[in-house]
Amino acid sequence: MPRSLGITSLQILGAIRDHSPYGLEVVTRTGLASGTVYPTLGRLKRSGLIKARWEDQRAAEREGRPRRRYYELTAEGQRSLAEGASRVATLAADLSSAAVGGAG
Amino acid sequence: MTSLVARLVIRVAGLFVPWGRRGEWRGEWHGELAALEYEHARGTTGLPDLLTYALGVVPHAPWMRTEGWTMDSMLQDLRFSTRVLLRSPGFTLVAAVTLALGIGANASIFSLVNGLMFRSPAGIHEPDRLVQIARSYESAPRWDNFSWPAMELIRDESRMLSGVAGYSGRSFVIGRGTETRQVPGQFVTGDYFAVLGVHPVVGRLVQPADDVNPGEHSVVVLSHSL
Repeated sequence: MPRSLGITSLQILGAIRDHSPYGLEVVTRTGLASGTVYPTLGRLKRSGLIKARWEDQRAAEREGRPRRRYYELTAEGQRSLAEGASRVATLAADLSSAAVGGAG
Repeated sequence: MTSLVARLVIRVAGLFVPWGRRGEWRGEWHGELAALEYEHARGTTGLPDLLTYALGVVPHAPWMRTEGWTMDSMLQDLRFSTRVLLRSPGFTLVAAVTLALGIGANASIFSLVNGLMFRSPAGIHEPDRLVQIARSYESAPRWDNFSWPAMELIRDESRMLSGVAGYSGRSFVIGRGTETRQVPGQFVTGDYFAVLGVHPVVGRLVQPADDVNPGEHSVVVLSHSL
């Protein structure tokens, strides 16, 4: 059985889901530190949940900048994100009802 | 300037990345940095600082080295290192002796300093809860004792200390006639040994009852070395 993903991994998968961002976009979307994001991207890539592709060299040259590395979810990554999101939603509901019960 | 420092950080951290993946790794970080510089130039808000962002390489570079480490690959490295060292035994011997001398000297100095400066004297109960209270001065690196009334005030008013005891260092002369010598000692309050949690090997120690009327009777505690 695959290991459950942590909140950080889910945040990063969520930031990658809608479009294929490069690292800086993941950092700004999640608000996580760059030192957290890049190793996590590496781990997710090794687990086969995301894949990386280099931008076309000519496209980068046209804009006069180094080429970027874009990330996208694999089918396995989409499944893991859906499972993780459902797990977090259940947990949030449980915690919310516990908080309401505790407050009374 | 910040950009230069950030690039330097990436260059240095890159030395920790395995050779075969270093180019790709640096390429990605330089790409990110260029994007960040571009966004900063456009005045986009909510972006991390350039240098703070580049410092992300500090955990990332070692991670690249340890990623995918297995017991097999480590054993392979160990076998390779052993073969290289055995190929030049003279160098290996000199390196091993140098390391042994260096480590030995450092360990000896550490033991000495630790024993003399950091370890509490033997026999004290819970030395980590023991504190020394003294007066210090901003003008000079000097410590002073408190007066007797001040010590009494601290003892009576303190709410966070389980006990307060006082002492004052003195030199005492022991012996008779020409057979005398000076020994270091202390005048102590009645609860001194109770606060330290020290127990006598023979006889009894100074107690609070000895400390009621000054000069009523004299009690002395001799150390084992005396």
